[in-house]
Amino acid sequence: MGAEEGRVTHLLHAWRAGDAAALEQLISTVHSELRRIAHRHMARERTGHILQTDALVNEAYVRLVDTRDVHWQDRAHFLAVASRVMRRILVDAARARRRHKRGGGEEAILIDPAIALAPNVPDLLTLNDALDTLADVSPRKSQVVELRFFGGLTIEETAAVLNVSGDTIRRDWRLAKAWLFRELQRS
Amino acid sequence: MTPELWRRIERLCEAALSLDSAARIAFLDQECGGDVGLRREIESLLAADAHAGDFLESPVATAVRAQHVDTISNEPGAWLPVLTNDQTDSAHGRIDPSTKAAEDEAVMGHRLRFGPYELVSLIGKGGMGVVYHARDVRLARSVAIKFLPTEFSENPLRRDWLLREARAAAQLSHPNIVGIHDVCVDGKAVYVVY
Repeated sequence: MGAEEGRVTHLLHAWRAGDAAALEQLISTVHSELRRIAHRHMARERTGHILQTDALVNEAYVRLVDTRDVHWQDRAHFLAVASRVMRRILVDAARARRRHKRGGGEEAILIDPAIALAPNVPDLLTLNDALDTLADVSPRKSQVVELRFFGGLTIEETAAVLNVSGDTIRRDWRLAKAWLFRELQRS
Repeated sequence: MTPELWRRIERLCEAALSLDSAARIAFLDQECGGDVGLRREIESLLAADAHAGDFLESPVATAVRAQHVDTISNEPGAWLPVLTNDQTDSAHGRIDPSTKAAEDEAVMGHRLRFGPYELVSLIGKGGMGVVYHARDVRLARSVAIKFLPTEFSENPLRRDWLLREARAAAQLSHPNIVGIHDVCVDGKAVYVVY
């Protein structure tokens, strides 16, 4: 096991055991790794190639966690952290893009080719605000969307992260989508 | 909105979603009584559910990458099973091949180079696009490139469907399924490399 893999696996265990500081360290590590992976892909190919968040998140997982000896709950928790980080990166990038219009900072470049390809996502910042509003009344529904949309988790993975049944996630997901769809139409 | 009210709305919406439209009306008549505000809120969420379609169904795309899957079949026509008319037609309505093929030729006609791929010769045309023999100049080897009808590049739903299909196909490894080497969106051109 490499040093980084061992450290991340250890942090996942510590977080599951209730260590909040471990979560902060995890977020920071996953954040760096996701950006590093995305930039390496960007450097390799100039145009036209798509990287969905689930591919990115899974690559980070394989790089950061020792997959030979890992509990399935560790994987679920890693995916949850990665989804949150992904949301931060994308929302920051959308803000940067708004500030700089086109071709601003590094983050604007990171995000530019991809958001145009995501179907029916006219405004990531509006979606982000709506998710925060949803979290006030229904935190789990908001989390389901974060995991599914920003992290690319399946229904089953989402159920494992939130420790509820797949049917509960399906109901959450359906109503959360309807609610967000209405919010975004109103804005 | 109070958490209590929201929980009530959630519960009623989820119950209503599991009913057909006739049963929903009776259910809401009974549950909402004369509470017009509650009824309006629930009906607007049910309407949003009906119109949401593919909204948020694909994880947000983030950046660019190449998928290098190291299997290219030399069998003529081996690319055909990967994407068929049946699959697209059932998903989002029909493509009209006669007009689309003509448009596609116009789009591709003035270019010989797409990313690292140089077009060599036309292999064939069909309802699902135009296939060229091409050369990957980085790896110095032959590939087949299928350009999808412009319908794919103009319609985000179709384009996203294609990319999901390509990603799923790229996971497969079987002697009778041609490997996907790459999938690209380049301006109006959407193409899959085998």
